[in-house]
Amino acid sequence: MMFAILAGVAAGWISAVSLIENYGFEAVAGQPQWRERRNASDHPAAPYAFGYFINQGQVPPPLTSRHFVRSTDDDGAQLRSDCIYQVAGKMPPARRWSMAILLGEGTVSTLGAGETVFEPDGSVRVELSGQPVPGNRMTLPGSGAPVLSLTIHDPAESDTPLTLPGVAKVRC
Amino acid sequence: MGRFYWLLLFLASAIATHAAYVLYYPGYNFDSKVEAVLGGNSTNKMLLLEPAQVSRLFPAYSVSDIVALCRYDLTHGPIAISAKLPRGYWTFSIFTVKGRQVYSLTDAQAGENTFTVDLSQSPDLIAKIKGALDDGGEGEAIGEAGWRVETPENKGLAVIWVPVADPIFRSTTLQAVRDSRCAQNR
Repeated sequence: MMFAILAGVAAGWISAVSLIENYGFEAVAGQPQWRERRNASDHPAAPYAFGYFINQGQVPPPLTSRHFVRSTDDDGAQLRSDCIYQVAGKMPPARRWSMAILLGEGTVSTLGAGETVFEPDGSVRVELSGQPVPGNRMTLPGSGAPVLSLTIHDPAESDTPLTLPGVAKVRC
Repeated sequence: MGRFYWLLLFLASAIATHAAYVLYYPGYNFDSKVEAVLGGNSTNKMLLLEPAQVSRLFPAYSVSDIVALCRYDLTHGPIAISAKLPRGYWTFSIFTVKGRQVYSLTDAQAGENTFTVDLSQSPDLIAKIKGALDDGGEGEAIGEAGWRVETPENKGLAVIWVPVADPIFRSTTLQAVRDSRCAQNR
């Protein structure tokens, strides 16, 4: 009897941890490197999406926003701390956006629309680098596998797929 | 019959553990982690967060944004949250301790930059059955004092977020948000 209970507890715990980590992410159409974290209260994945954030001691993004993450560049390679990347493209129409470099349970650096210098055509160009570089920059951690997040606040399109900037490796 | 019994026991244990981990554990875990960031004695008061605290708690905000937070505890009764915010984009959100957002307000929805929200815990099932509160129910109603919000949990976070459009306005925005209040209703 004890074995059945212990096996059940282990299976329940493993399935919960696994679903919190993975369920609720959806690849963005046309840009599968970006994955959207669904956190709407009426979404079946909502409890797992909430758990993903609050297990890390973080407040989930508000429901008026859309939250995207990626851990790879446009070639599908894992983002590395010792490389320089360029995030380039137009942000979707929205009242605000913000980006962050995440590592484990911490935020390494952030960049908001209000502190960004835009290109003449309205697009953005942001370098991800551990070293100082000219222009908009977000600091990569000294080691580890960073994750890039992008939050679109009050987007003009709340349900349709959004076109997000690309992330190209510059050099390592 | 014997195998069916063990299988049933296994499934019941798995479902109970899964549900407890997803639905209950995160709430306890989250509250203690938030307290570790904000410090003790941080309930029912509006705190203007330092950039390091914003970075630790809010993956969706930039550290240059202005964030005020009330860690509410409705054990001893409802609280009132009031703010007079600068013109421009801002959001006000109420989360339960389990991470569920129960209320959202933006400058565009409010139509003005001053608001008061009375926050209380929604009556439990027994109270509803007894009809103790005849006009309760979830959601909101516009009262004399402003909006009234009911939350299913007695603990959580109320968050005011004001992204700074230009660093030149930061100090005036900061001053306005600093005057926000979160206190027990008297």
